[in-house]
Amino acid sequence: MRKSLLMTLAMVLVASAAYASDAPAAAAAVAAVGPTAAWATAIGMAIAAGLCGLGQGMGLKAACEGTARNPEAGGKLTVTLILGLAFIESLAIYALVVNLILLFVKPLGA
Amino acid sequence: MMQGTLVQKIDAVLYRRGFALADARSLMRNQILLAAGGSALVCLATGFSSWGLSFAAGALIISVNFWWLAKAAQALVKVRDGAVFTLLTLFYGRLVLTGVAIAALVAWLGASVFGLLAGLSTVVINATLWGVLQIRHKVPATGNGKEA
Repeated sequence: MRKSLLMTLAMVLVASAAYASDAPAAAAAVAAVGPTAAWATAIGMAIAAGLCGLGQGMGLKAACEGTARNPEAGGKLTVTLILGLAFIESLAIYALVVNLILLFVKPLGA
Repeated sequence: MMQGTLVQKIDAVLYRRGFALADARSLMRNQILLAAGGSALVCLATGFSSWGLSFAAGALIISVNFWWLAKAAQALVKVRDGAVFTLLTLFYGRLVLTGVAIAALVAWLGASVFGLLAGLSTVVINATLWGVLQIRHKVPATGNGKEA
């Protein structure tokens, strides 16, 4: 699984580098930026969403366990949980914004 | 006096809307005040430029997001029978709406990206300030050395 993921990533990177290094294929290189950006945003968002999901899940699990063990501390745990979830989710939103910039604003070229 | 009344009014509205925990209410109230005050200030300072409006849009999106997140977190810790599906729908619906709104702003409405990011950061600023204030309240005052 890990091998195939790495292979896919390497193929995408090598393909874009090959397009860029070939002087007569400059037009093709410009055209390849689009798919490369799409790949980059897809992989970036997948990593961000996956890791943020893991973080939020771990936080929620710990809060539920804490409340089950000590119901009186539920209020304080909930506030801490809200803060943690907000921090983690803001990271995912930042990643989304950066990906949208890469995809639509195209700061690295057409 | 007027500030106290405004805070009390916001607190009353939040309590009626399901923010039963005092700390969660205080967090949400601070977020509303920070987002509204910051947006008004930035819009006036920049003459309602694209940057200011993007800041206001980002602050609004993240405040609505935080509202639903806080409500969902309060309910998730005390899950009642039959509420799980509604909660999950609300949770994912909120995420989808946030994503669509940000995509529309960046891709089609041409919002200023840095303004939008600054607006989205209001929730981080609010949470950080709240945490720092909590730590400051809990740290015991250091004596003058004569106690020993």
